[in-house]
Amino acid sequence: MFKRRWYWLAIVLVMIPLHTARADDDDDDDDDDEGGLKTSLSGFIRADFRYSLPRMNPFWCPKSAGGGCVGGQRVSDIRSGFDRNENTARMRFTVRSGDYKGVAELDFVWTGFVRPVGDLLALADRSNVDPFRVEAHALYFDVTDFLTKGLDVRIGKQIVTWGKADMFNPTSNLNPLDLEDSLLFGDRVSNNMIRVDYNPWKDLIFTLVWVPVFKPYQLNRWAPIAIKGVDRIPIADGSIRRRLHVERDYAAQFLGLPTVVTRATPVQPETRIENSQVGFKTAWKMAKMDFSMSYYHGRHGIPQPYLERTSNGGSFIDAEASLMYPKMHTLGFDWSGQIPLGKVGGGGRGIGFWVEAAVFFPREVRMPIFQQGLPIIPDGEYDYNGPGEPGVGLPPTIISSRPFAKWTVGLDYTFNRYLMVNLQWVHGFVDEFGAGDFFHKSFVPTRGAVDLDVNNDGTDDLDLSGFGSAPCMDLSTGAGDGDMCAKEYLRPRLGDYLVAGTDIRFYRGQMLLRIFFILDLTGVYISEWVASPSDPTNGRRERTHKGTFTSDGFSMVIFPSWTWSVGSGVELSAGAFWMIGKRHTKFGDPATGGSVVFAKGKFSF
Amino acid sequence: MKLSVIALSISLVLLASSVASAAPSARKIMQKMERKMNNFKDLTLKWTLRVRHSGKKHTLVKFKVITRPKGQRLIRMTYPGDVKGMHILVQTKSEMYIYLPAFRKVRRIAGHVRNQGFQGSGFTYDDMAIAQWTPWYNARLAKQTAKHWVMSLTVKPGKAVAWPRLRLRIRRDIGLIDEIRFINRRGKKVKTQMFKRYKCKSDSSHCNPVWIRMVEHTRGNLVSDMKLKGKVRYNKGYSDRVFTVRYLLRSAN
Repeated sequence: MFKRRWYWLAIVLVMIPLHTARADDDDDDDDDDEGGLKTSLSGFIRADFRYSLPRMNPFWCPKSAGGGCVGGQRVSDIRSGFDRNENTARMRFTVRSGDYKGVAELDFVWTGFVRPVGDLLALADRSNVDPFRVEAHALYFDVTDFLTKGLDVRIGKQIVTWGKADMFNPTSNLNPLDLEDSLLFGDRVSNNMIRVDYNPWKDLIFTLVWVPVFKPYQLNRWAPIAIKGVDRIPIADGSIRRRLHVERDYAAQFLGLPTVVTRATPVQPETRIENSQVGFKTAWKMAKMDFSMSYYHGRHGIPQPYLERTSNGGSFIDAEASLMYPKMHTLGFDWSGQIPLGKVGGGGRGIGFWVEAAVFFPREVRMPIFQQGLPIIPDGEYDYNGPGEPGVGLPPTIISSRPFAKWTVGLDYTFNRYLMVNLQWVHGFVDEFGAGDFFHKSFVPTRGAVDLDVNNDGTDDLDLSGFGSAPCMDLSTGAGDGDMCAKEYLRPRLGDYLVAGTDIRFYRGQMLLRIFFILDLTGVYISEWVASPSDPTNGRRERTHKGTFTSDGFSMVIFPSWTWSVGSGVELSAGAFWMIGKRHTKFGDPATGGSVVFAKGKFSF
Repeated sequence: MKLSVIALSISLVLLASSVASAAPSARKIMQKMERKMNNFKDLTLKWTLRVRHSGKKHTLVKFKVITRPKGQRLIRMTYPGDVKGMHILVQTKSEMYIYLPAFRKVRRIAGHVRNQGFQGSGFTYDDMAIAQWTPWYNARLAKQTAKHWVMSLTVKPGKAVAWPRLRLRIRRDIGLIDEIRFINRRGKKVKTQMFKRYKCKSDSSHCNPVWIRMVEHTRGNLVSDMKLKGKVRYNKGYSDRVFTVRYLLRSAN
């Protein structure tokens, strides 16, 4: 009897700890609130193939055109064939110890193309045969609750993205955009900065960021086509611009001296403290919606011309441009939430919305033009106000100091487990800067040239030689009559775009068909001299708008992609990035790089 | 004769009272069940989610959830690699945020995603979040067996919910649900959620499901299984700051 009692007691004593251990023991080793050193590694390995389809490019020129079709650039400058042949290994390494964390996120990118070499010996260098680069997206450490509760500090190379909109964030200016890969909208270049967040209460957060050294946008390979385009200098004053078109075309046709921009040199701001950038933001929640307001002082990331020197290059006119990054202040605001739909769809199914807007206060940029050794035109500074006026006048404005606004407004909604739709109105594309929209008219040229057939009857009515009855050139002064003789395709500095897309899931949710497009709602303006049939010199300058759905004004990007999440982190995708529009339109512009098809494989871990 | 009548009367009274005590009101059953399901300050759970496709290998997803009875949740995806690092913060039904590692940004997501399947499974965000029905539904005891109470729930007037009707089966031994049938507006059974196993605290003050199965009848009876990995961790003392966008950004980025 005594032995039996001990037996049962032993069983009970053994059972109790087991039962307690199942429910209550805390042996999880990666809980956020525990101490100790925790590390984690994640990343992916990706192969990316892209093929440029010349025939899909609106600026494609047949071989019979002799190779030079696009504003002086050669067709061969625009790569056809494999546009990308990359392999990327991304490693993100995180170390945590209580309130301290360090993060390193690096991309090792092998480009897949052999570097052009001038000598056989260069092939002995692996970096020429198999070039690669390293991109550091993050190299920082941060401290939570530093000195006081709610105060977080992050120091190092990092990306700070502000704004509630998708991809198009006019309030986010601390990090430059990475425009190198057109398929990666919204990607940014990291920069060394100090970020301090203070969260005193619930969702109220104050953020202060200091960026000591400015970094510009990373541009795509084709950007020089835009910057070096001699007919697209963004001079605000139309009369000076048109004179330049006429004088340039005269020199090319009658003097055998085409104008070529041989150099466009961006000048990096001096690394002094007054050139550092700073941003401040307050975020809060009210009525279950999120708001924030921000301020940024720094520079725009795409360089603008501020000095041009033209000289005699022997067989051409050599134009050298110096570029700088305009200073600006920016005030930002954003707001996001949900529009309730009551009982529709069973309740709780609101439409997501967001509004993000920024007002920019740029510093004015003017571009003096100097000439030397050119025929007809005297040496010295360009005569901006024309031969009839005393002095040369003021250099033309490239960026005016007038404030301007950019914004993104969007909605999204999921209809069911298979279909989601996202819509955005973007006012001011990522590369657009300066006042010029429906609030204030100001345009930039996308093409400009002499137009001698002013009544569009197929015969020249004006004379560019300078000797005819309706001369475009005053050979005594070297000044062109731009008002009468130049035709331009113009766009407002800030365009309007509809960005829309849909996600369709199928095959048990493993496959995703995503179709996105960007439609340019701005259209194009054609500025030309409209003359009376009897007298070509008697007429007026007209600016005609060609809307979105006209052959001249239509421009869009279509981006279909299919992705298959095979499982265990493996993803296969394929698609196209198709640019549509004439050469003078936003997306038909050769500077976009043209249309591509792509295929990717990725393994994430 | 009189004695038999008295005995019969007493028996009838006893029978009536025993029936009455075996069938508490629907409201009491629901309240007791919800109290037990939400009897914690915070809960940390690690789940594996398997979706069994017919004729194919299952897809597997792993995630960690920190949850509070008020409905606040912080979900961290840990597997597979293409979703690893994704964090979802649920503050209320209409306030949800997602951190996407690819964009290094916290994005607010609207309520319309709540009824999407979670990672391709039959579970929705609501299925994973809801542990209270009485604020939105009227309950009626439809049936009672030796082992179960079967409750029929209909949505209260003026309330907006995804499912107008539910059928809950509650275990009488532990007072917790073991099956939910989701019925659409046309009266058709769309899916069934089964709580296959529970793990209870030593004092039985709280029990947590450790295996939940969802069968979607409209998708060829697709089966999704959520199984708890490791321990149920109670009351670690997470403060409100864990369920903020700031914490989401700092823990995810």
